[in-house]
Amino acid sequence: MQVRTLLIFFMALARLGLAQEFTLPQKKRANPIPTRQNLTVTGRIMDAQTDESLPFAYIGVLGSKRLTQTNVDGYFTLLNVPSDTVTLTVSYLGYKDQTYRLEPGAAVKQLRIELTSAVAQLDEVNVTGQRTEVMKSGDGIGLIKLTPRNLSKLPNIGERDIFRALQLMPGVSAANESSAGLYVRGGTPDQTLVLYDGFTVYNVEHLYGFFSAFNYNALKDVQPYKGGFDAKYGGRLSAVAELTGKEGSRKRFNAGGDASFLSLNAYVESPIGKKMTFLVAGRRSFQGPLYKKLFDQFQSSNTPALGGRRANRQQTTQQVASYFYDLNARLTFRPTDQDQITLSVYNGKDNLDNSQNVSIAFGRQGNNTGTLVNTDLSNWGNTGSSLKWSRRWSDRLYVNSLVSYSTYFNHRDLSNSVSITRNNNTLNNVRFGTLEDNRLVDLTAKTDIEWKLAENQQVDLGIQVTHNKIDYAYSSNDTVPLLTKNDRGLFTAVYAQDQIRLLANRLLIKPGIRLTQYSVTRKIYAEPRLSATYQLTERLKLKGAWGRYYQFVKQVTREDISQGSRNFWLLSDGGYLPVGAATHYIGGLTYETADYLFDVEAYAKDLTGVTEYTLRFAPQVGRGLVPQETFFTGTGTVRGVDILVQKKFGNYAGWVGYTYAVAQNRIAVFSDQPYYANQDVRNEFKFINTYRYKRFDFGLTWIYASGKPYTSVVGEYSVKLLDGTSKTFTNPSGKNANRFPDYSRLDASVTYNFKHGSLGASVFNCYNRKNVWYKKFTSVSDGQQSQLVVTDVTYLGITPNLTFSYRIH
Amino acid sequence: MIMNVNKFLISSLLCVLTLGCQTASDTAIAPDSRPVVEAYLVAGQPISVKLTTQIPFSEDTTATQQAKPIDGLALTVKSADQTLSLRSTGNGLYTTTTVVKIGQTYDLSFDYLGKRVTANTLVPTKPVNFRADQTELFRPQVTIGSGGLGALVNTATPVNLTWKNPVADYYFVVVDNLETSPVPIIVDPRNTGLVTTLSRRFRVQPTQGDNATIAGLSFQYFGRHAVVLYHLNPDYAALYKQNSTSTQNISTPPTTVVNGLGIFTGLAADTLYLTVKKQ
Repeated sequence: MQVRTLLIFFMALARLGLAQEFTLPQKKRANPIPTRQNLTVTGRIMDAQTDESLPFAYIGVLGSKRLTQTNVDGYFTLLNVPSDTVTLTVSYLGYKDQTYRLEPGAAVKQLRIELTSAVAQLDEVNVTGQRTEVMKSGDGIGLIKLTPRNLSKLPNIGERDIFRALQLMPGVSAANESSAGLYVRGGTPDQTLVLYDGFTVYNVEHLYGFFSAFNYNALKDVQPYKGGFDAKYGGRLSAVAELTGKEGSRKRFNAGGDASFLSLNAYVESPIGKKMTFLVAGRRSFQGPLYKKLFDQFQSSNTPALGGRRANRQQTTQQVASYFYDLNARLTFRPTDQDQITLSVYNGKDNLDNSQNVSIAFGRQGNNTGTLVNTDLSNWGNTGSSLKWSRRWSDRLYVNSLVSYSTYFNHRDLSNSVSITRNNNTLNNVRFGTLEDNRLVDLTAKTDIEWKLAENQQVDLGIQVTHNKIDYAYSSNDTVPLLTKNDRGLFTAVYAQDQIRLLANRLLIKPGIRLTQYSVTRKIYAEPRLSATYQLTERLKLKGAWGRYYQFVKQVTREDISQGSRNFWLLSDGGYLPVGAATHYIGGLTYETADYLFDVEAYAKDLTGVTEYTLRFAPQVGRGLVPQETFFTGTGTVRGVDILVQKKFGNYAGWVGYTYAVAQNRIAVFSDQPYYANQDVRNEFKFINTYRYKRFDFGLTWIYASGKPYTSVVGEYSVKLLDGTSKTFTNPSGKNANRFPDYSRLDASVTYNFKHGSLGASVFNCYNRKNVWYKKFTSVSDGQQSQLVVTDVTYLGITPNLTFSYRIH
Repeated sequence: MIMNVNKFLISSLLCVLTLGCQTASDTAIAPDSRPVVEAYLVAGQPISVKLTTQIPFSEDTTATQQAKPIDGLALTVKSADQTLSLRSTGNGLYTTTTVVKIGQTYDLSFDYLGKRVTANTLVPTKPVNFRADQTELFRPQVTIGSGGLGALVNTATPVNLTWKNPVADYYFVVVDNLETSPVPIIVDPRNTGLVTTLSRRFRVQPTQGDNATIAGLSFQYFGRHAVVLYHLNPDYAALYKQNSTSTQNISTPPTTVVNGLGIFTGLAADTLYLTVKKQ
C-alpha cells in the first residue's frame, strides 16, 4: 500500500513539473554598446566566503546555449562569446546562482566570480535561484552531483556521510547497512573507482562499513558517475566517485567541528601568507553508547558460546578498546595566477577488537587456572597522498600532473590460545585459528591535458602509470600458510577524448578511447567509449552512452564473512583471476523545468571475468589452498532502469528515486543456470524530503528495497566416520535461490542552524524495522534426531543521535 | 599405483564442474531430495553402501526431523573387471560379498526418483613401512580426588608412528581398545558414570605427513589396542574441515557423489598393536 501511495505522489510530482515554465533571472539594464565581438572570456569561480575555487561549476551566456564547466581547480574558458555586453550566469550546487555582466571595454580575462553558499544565507527565505537541493542529476550520462555542504539537511547516524548520501540516489543501493561502499547499478563496491584528490582509495569503510572513510568537513566536491564514464577514468567496471578536498580559506583563519554520540570531528583552515592555504580535518570515534551499539550489532555473530556445568567454573570476559579515526590534510600553494600546487594527505584506520579472555579456575583450592584468549581482531586502514601541479598554460590549454601514493591494509586475527597455569607455572600453550593479511601499495603518476580547440570542441588527453603491489596471506594456527599471493603489476594507460558540440550546441558527442598495457598479462586493452546528449527541446534532453571497461585489481568477496576478513584485493593474473571486463549500454532522457527534474536512464551491463571466492569446494585439510579450488570465474549481466523526480528549489525540496534492476551471475561451479548476484536489487524506492522553516531544516528519508538473495539450507545429513563418531553437514539450496524479507527504513532529522553552526537530532530506523542481515542456522541434535534452528541476524534498530556543529566563521 | 593427489583433485573438480553442466533440470535431483550415500570401500572387505534421505529442513516448521533409510533400489558397482549388483538388506543397507581390491576404481550408480545418481573412487595402496617406536606403554592408574592428577601430565609418553609417504597423500590414524571389558586409567569414585563417557576409540587428525604422535594421555583404558593407519582419498579428509552454518557460509564437503550427498571413498589400512600397562 505504501508503495502505491508513493507512486501516486511520484506521478503527481511529475505532472506538476510539466506545468512549470523554465525561466532564468534576467537583469534589467540600459542597452550598452559593445566594443568587442567574438571574444574569449576566462576566469575562475570562487567561494565568496573562503575564496576557495569551485570545481565543475557551470558558466554560461545568458540567453544562449553557450555553456561550459569549470575544471577541477575552478578555471573556465568561454570561447566565442558574442560581445562584451553579455551577462554570464554561474551556478553551482549548494550556492546561490550568480549573474555577472561584462562591461564594455573592461578586461574579460582572469575574471573572478564569487558565489555565496546557500548555507551562509541563513535568514534569506525564498531567494530566487537559491540552490537548496542536496543533489543534482541529469547534466550528463549517469552523472549526479552532490554537495557536502548540504549534507546536514539529511538524517544522519553519528556522522554526516557523503557515501551514505550517495546511496540515496536511484541506481546506488541503499539497503546495505554493513557496507558504506557504492553498489552502483548492480555492481560491487570494488567496481567503483574512488578518487580522492587524484589518488585511488582502496578502502572506503569505517566500523564494519557503517560509515564511509570520508570526512565531510574536508570535502569540497563529489562527482559520481553511475556508468558510461569518460575515457579519463579507467580500471573499474561500474562507476566513478571523484572527491575533491577543501583547500582551506584564503581569507582568514577558521576552525570548527562536530560532536555526536559517536565521534568528534574538528578542522582548522587558514591562509599562510598570500600564496598558501591549508586545511587539516580529523575525527575519532569514542566509545559512547552509539559506538557500542553499532559495534555490538556487527559483532554478535562471533561471540563464542561458553557454558559450564561445574560449580567451580568461573568466567571473566573483557572487551578491549576499539576505535576508528581519520585525518585529512591539504596544503595549497599558488605561486602564480596560472599555477597551483597541492599536497593532499589522508590517513585512516579502524581497530576493531572483540577479543575475550576467559579464565577458568579448577582444582580444589582454585589454584589452577586455564585461560582461553579468544582473539577476534580486525584492523584495516588507508594512507593516501598526492602531490599535484596544475598549470594553465594558456586560455586553451590546461595541464594537470600528479604523483600519488596509496596504501591499504587489512589484518584479521580470529584465533584462540589456551594456557594452563598450575601452581603459578604455565604448562601449556596452544594457539589455533586463522590469520588473514592483505596489503596493497599503489604508486601512480599521471598527467591530464585539457585542450580547448575551438568553441565547440575540447580534447582531453592523458597518460597514467600505476604500479600495484598486493600481498595476501591466509594462514592457520600461526604457522601453516593456506594461501599466499604476492602480486606485482604495472599499468600504463593513455587516453584521448574529444568533446564536440554540434547543431548550435544542441548535440554533444564525446568519442574517446583508453588503452592500457598490463604487465602481468602482457596485453594491451582497448576501451573505446562514446556518449552523446541531444537537447531536443528547451526542456527535453536525450542521452546515450556505450563503452568498454576493464578492471585489473579486484576485491574478492568471500562467501563466508563470519570466519575472516570480508574482502581483499588481488591483482588479476589472466588465469584463475581473469581481468574483468564490462560493456555498458545506457539510454535515457531528462525533462527539466524551473523547479522540477524528471530523469530516466535505462542501462545494460555485460560482464566477463566475474570472480567469486569460496572455500566450499576446497578440501582444505592438511595442506594449503589451491587457487583453482577457491576462485571461480564466470559472467554477469545487469539490466535496469533508474527513475528520478526531483523538486529542486524552494523551502521544500527532495526527490523520489526508483530503480528496477536485475543483476545475475553465471559461474558454472555454483549452477549451470544464471543465478541472482549477491548485490541484486529488484525494486528499490527512495523518498527524500527536506524542508526549511526559518532556521530549522527538517529531513525525512524512506527507503524500501526488495530483499537480497541468499543461499539457504534445505536439509542436513550425517556421515559416520572411521573413528566411530558421526558428523553432521548442512546441504545448501541453489546458489542465492532465496530472498530475505524486504528491507525498509524511515530516518528523520531536525537541524537548528545558527550563525556559527547547527544542532541536529536524528532518528535512524524510526519504526524499528527488523531488517534481516543474514540467517544463522544451528543444528541441534540429541544423538538420534536432529533439528535445524534458524535465527535472523538483523540490522540496526531504532537509533537516535544528536550532532552539534560549530565553526568560528 | 601411487595415488596422485593433484590428479584426484582435478578430477573431483571436473566432477563438480560436470555436475554443473549436467544438472539441467531434467537430470538433476532437487537439492532437498538428494539421497545421502555412505560407503567406505576398504581393501579386502566386502562392499557395503548405506542410503538414507536427508534430514529435511523447513524454516516454517520446528518439528524434529529424522533421516529415513532408502531401501529397494537397484545399485550397481562397476570395477575394471566386473559389474556387481548390490542386494538391499533393509535399513538402507546394500551389500555384496565381493571384496574390494587395492588400486581399483569403483563406479557406483543407481536411479533414484527417476534420475541417475553416480559416484566413483579409487582404492589407494596399502600403507608402506608402518612402524611404532614402542609396543608397550606404562600409565599409572589415577583416582580423582586422591591428589594424583599430576601423574596425568608427567607420565605422558608419546608413541611415535611413522610410514612412507613420498607424495603427500592423506593418512589417518584410529586407535581402538580391543579388550572385551577394558579397565579405565582414570577412576572417579564419586562419579561412576564417568566410565561410559570415556572413549574406547580415538583418532589423530588426517595428515599429509609421514608420521603421527599419540600422546600417552589419549589412552583412556589399559590393555591391547589396535593402531590402524588408513591411506585416504582427499574427500574423506575434507569431512574434518570446520563446518559452520549461516547464510554467509554454507558449504558441503566435496564429494564424488553426483546428484547426491555423502561419501563414497576407497581406503586401505595397516594395523599395529600396542598394549597399555599399569605402571
